[in-house]
Amino acid sequence: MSRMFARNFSFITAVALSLFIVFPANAQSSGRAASISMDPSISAPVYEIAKEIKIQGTVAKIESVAPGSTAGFHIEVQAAEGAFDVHLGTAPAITAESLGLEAGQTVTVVGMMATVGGNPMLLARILTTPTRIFILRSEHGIPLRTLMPRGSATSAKASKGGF
Amino acid sequence: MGVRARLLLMLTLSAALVFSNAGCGGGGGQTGVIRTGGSTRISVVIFPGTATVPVSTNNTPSTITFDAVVYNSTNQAVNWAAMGGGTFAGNVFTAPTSPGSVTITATSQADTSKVATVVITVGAPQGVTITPTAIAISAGGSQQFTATMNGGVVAAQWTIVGAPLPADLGQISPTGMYMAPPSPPPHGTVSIIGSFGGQQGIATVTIVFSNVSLKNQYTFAYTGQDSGGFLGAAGTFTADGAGNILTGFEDVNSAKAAATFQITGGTYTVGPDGRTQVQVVTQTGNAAPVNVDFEITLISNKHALIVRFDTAASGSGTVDLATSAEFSNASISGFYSFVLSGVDSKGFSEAIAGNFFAEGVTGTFPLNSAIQDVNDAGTVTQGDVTLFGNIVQSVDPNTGRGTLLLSSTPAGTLNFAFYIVDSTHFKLVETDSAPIMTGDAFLATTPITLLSLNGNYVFNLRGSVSLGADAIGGVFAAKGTGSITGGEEDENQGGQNIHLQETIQTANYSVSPTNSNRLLLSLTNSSGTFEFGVYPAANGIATMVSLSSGGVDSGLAFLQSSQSTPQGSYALNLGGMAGDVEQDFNGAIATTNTHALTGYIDGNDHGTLDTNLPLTSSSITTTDTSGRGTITMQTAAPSSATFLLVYYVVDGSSIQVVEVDGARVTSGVMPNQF
Repeated sequence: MSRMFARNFSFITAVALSLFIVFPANAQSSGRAASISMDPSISAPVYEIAKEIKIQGTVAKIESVAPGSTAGFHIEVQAAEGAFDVHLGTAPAITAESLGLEAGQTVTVVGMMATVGGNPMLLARILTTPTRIFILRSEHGIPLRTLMPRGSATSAKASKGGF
Repeated sequence: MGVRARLLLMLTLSAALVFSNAGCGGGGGQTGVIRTGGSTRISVVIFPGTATVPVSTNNTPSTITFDAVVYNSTNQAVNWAAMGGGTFAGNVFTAPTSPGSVTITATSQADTSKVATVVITVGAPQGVTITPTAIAISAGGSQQFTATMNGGVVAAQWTIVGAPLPADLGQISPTGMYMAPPSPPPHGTVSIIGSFGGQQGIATVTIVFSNVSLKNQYTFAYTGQDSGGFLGAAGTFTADGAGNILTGFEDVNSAKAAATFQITGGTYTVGPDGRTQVQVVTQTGNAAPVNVDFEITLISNKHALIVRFDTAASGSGTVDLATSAEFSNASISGFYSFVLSGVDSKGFSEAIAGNFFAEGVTGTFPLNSAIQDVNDAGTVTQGDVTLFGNIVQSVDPNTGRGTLLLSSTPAGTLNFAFYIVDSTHFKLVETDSAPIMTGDAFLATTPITLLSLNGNYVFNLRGSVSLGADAIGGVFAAKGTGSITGGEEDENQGGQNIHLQETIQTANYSVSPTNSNRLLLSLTNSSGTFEFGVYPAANGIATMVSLSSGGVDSGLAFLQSSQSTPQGSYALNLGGMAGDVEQDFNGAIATTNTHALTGYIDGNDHGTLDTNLPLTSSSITTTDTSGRGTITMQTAAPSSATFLLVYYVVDGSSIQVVEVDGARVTSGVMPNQF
């Protein structure tokens, strides 16, 4: 069985059941399954740079979340203010290896808190590791799609010799 | 070549492909492996899938020549059986002498638990008996028909009946030799009528795709992901109609590498449902040749859907028959509406839509005759008139390839390779190391006025929001006066927030700036009001880009002329993201009278390949008044997956599709094959 199907089957079965209910009802009511929002009033968070916060802490957990919740690459940062679920992005190139991340590292994250699927998380725009700075979202919150090794204009490269 | 012989060749080539790749010994993941077994199970399909034939008489048998495809096995042998009357000799069925229904089964010899079934109807005798009375013929193939009356062969007058012109139904000679057209006609069948002495007989011919269906020069483009991230490609290839790729050219650009490749050869095999395995040999400079695999699903012999189908990359796009007579700078003449999408120099999503004037033979796109909207990672520049450009490298008369630049204040100078489909359409891929943009340009009818949007428009947009990938499908009603009177839409934001069938409320659009070739469109739903730059082109197409800082979406809108529920056989392409990986699917699916869906899909999950996945328990709902419906598509175990899709009908031949489950954020098209 390929990854494609192994990854998705149990989750999508649950979603399928919910959508079967939602479709005939014109989807105006909530049809939640897992943490997916079917509520039309809930949209992807609109990133506002004025609402950014900055946290510093230790990487407690690194995980790539499969489709079905807030898919993408997450880290849990234990900061003085508490534990933060930090969403770093969804690009294939955003991995622990490419970012040089390890549990126990001290990192700084600049981003905006948002509630996604009922869960609070920090949408990271700037990640600072012990050796590099990564700009993971634009100032409008659009996540990085590709790491640009060839002639990248990211400030990360300029300032710390990153990608 | 008959269906059976062609299928044997297809499977032989497939097996050879696997063998040759295995022999490469893992050459750096450059060569894909098309699996003929793998995780998928054996399944059987019978051609023709249905038939009505007259009873046999004492002196005249009524026959059907059946063929079967055994997917995911190199053993194509089946055992034929009939329940309800009649007999088999090999794959030729002779109808019983009494009317009724007969169930035909084909049992795989490789796995006797795998059986396909069709039910045929045996009806009243005909005055003239045509032999064979029913058969499946490969596109471009031939079949000799004979007419008998009272046990003796007669010199019948032959005619072909089917869909009206301009459909190509094939030709039949005065002696009954039928030549099938290069691709299946509407409904996939024709009737061969033999008339003699005031009597008639009818034979039904099912025409299936074959290698002949891919013949001539085609222009293609696709976008997706490779190990470097976003990937864009455009090119051209020439197929000989006999399974060989003769030549071609391709420009590929990702963060990993940007290069122009010559296609030095290759092979392809078209399956009866139009799904086609293609392997091309590419080479750039003095580098070693590299094999690249594609899965192409034919819509007709003129258009197809393409998936990059190897372990090195995945992506989706289109293939169009090229008009080589229009491979010149002079053909790029007039106003063109364009749309580009990809990544900017920092790796964030960027999308541009606009309109420029091409002078033709000079290759100039002058300043003050162009306008565009740029959405660079949420930073939006509206109605920018600093755009200008020119063709840099003239169009090659053999490949239809040229290079051009587009320069503007907000986007900088972007260099592209472009490939001409015809004078109304060319495909672009950026050749710069960064940004990396790809797209299309369509000839536009000017001046663009409020009347340029007049009717219902189906739109299909793709891009990024703060949670990741985004896909939007919908329809809006424009009155030609600046009013949007309604519509509905569906959006999948990162597989996380899924908005189903949101109502588009009363809104408006305007020509902005005045007397420009740009429309500013506002669409309001329960989430708010969203603006788009819209650039109408000819033939009811318009390019669109989101002007929202929260979403970088772009795509096309299509004038809607039908809201009817799909019926028939369709090609299908879906492409997009599943979490952090690219997934692309091509398929050939068909509706039934009970709104079930049957068929097969092939998928590339970021380098993991699945072929010939049969659909099971799949269905399609009827459309609402906007032409919107839903599809539940499931593949059979052990490679089980479910796709929940919303579709919007454009017309009798085109449907736009958006996936609305949490597993993936994909979108695509479902064009009618026949």
